[in-house]
Amino acid sequence: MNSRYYHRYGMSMIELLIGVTIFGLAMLPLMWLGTTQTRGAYSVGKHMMAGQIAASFLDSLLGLPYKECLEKIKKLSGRGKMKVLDDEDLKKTLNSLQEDGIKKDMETSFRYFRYQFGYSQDEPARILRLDLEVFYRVEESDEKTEQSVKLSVLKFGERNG
Amino acid sequence: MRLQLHPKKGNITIILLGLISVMLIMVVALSKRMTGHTQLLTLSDYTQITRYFLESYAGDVLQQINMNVNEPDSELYNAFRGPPGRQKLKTGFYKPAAMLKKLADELKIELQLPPEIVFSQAEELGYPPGFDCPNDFKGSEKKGLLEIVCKAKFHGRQYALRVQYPFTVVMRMTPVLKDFMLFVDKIAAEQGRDKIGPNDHLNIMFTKEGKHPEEADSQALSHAGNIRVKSGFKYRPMILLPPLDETEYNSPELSGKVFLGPSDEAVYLNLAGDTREAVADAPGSDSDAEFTASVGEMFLVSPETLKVADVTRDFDFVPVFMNKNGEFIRMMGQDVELKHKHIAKMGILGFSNEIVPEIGEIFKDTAYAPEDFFNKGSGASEFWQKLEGYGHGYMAFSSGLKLMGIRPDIGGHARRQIFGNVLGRFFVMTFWWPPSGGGEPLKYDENRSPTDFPEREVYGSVKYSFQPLLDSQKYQDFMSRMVSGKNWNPRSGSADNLPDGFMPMNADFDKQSKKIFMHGQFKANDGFAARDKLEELGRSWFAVEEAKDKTAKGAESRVGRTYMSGEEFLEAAGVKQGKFKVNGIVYVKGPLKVPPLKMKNEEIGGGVVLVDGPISLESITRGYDIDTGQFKLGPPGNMLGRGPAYDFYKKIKTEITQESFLTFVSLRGDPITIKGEALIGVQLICLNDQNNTPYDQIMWSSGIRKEIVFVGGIACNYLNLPKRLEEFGQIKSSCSLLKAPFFMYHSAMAAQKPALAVQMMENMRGYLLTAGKVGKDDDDE
Repeated sequence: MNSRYYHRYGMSMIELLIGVTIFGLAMLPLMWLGTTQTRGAYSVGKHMMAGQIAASFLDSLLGLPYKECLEKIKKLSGRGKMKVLDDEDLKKTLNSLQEDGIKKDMETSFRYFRYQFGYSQDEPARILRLDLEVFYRVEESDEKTEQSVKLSVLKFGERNG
Repeated sequence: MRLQLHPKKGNITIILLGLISVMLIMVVALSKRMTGHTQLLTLSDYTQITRYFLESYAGDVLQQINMNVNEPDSELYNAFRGPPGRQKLKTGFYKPAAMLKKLADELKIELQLPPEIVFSQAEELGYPPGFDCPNDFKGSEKKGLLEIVCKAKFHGRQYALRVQYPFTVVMRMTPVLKDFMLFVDKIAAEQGRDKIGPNDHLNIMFTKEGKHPEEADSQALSHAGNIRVKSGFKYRPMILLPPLDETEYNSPELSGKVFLGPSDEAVYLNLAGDTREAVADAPGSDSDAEFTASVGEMFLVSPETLKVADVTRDFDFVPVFMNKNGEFIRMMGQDVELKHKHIAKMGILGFSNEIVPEIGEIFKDTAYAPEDFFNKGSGASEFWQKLEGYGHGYMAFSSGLKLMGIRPDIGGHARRQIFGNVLGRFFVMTFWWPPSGGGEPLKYDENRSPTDFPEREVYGSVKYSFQPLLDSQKYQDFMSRMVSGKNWNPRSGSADNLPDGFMPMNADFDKQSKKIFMHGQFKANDGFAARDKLEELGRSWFAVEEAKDKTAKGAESRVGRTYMSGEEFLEAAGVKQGKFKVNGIVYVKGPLKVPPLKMKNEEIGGGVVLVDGPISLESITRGYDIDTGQFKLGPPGNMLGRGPAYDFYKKIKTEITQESFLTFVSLRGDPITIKGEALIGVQLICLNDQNNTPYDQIMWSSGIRKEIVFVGGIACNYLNLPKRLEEFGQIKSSCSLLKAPFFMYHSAMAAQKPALAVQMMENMRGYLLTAGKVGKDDDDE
């Protein structure tokens, strides 16, 4: 009987194991990167939203006459850290929305957003500094991941001379 | 045994390597994308932070422009008042506010100074119909845009904010109206249709012995059925003092004009009489304090009014007729020469208790009754018939409004122009005095033939006849009468052709005659003229355009700021800081309660405050130590040229200018209540009649205890005069020579060059935020 070499065309178990392991090891950072990327994108969204909220809150205050603005900021800053969704103006806006879906979406998105006002005043010069910090969570379930956007602006009272 | 590699051996390694490479590429790409995201986010954050910072910077610049632009010594003052054009402004005035610097430090933003300020657009402001702006003033009132460019560096990038702020340059006072000391465009309604009697609420000031006693005599009241004057109530007249300064006294432009409207109705003011004036005027008699302080207004009547009197001579104190005791009844007048040395004695009498037949001295113990002079029944003049019907007691009540002030020591009267169909009402009593055989009154008779003069037969043989010197002279020129004794309807004839028998209160000094002045004759010292009825001008200036996209050309287009409450306005004006800066034309959602303004003129920025609601004003004393209780005229003989009132006016004459003059306007005709005794340098306007019937528009509070001193102007639809005179009556006179509040015009209101105020508005336009890398010429938007 002639000795015959049996030609193996498949992979050995060892090869397969090694391949899977290498692939697995290579996939891990990729998956981590993917997760980070997703989280990053999500965070960017949150950050942008926080910036928009801060800007719109400040703009609405800047639109008020000086005295009203001062009274409002005094009231708001006295409240400390507040939920964005508890803001009366925002509530009114949300309530005025016709589409329930959009309203729900907004409420979900802003669930963990908080804000805090601060102010200082140069009374004789009629200059009011408005400070606003809007907080958001990078990971909604984790309070420790809270980050913030802070904006400051000066509001000038009318001085006719 | 020899190991032979299978041809496919190593394939997996290659595949794995390839896979890893793909993964690596993916990792790199993902990581790059993530970095891009982060950079984008950072840039967005920086832009937002810088945007707010630059807006704060621009706001600071604007605030400082506002503070400087109306200060006459500042660089900006002239820049804004110059001819329009695109020009750069000097920025030396700008010093960043401490708060802005602090913010820059905290944010680590590099503030780039100075800002750039450029006029980017300017156009002339128009006027409502009827306002004729002088050519040399056109373009002085304008609106335009001021461009401010603020720059800052932040994290290696340069940011620039370019914004435009609208501005207007407007007059600090209301054109045309400011030339009036008193402008009451519907006052004719306060006189009723009859113009005399119970509904005449203008001629209600009891007059006796050349004075206005605070309370009317009960006897006079009993002969004046249903007169508006209340028994037991005190009244003091509203006397518009003549200018205390000699130049102003002789200037029609500076003495403060008066308008009593409307233009198509006549207003009759009973001139107050004073028989003591005549005594003092008699040759050889000396003036005394009582005479000097007379409220008699016969000084307003000049001989030319009588047509036949000698215009080259003043009125004298003449005996007109005799009483039963053989004593002459004397009064102001003239002996008018007739042919054959006959004399017609023509006396003029004002409204006063003395001429009331039942209680006065004039007809007491005489053989004559009023009807011998003024006729009776249908033969009498219209007003005399009415007066007889209402009661002779009305003859004791003269006008509560004295437009020319009090009788000056120097004679004549101020060259104040009175606009409107304002007629002076008084009596002329003519007695023909032939050489012998007594005489006879020339009775009022309009229907008598003009050539039918009386004749008289003496001792049955001598016949005297009344023959005027000139053939053209008519009986009606001599007869006794009530001047302005008929209800003349201006609608039926032109004011230029006023029929005989009326005396306009206005004196045309160019023509040395009395003449009605309407808007055509109006010419302000600053050159403004009126091309429409004066009442229309008052209305159109404060009109508000109904259409949303349009603005009326008057005050509405000139409003620089809007305040949603009186408190907000007071805060912006700087009341808490001891200032009151209006600096332009502002709209205030009323009510507005203005506290006492004791700050000096320099701390007051003049302007017009349009209030949508009621206004209450405390004293406005401008830092002057003024005790109105001590406010007095000078001693007899130099009444207007000396005394505390004169001293005060001399001081404020130059110190108060239009730059600090204040105008308060009640836009909807709500009342303006004055709660302080002194208002210095103020014009009050209430021209939006809401009731179409007289009501309280400008009133004095019952809380005022000291003498009232008002320096400025009043413009309203109605005075509701009885109420005002009652309010004045609550205060005891502080001056023995003037038993009335001190109403004075301030010549600054009629300045040749109107003062202008610059108003910057906060609503930004042309907003452009740019960012670029530092050092890079081209900005990336």
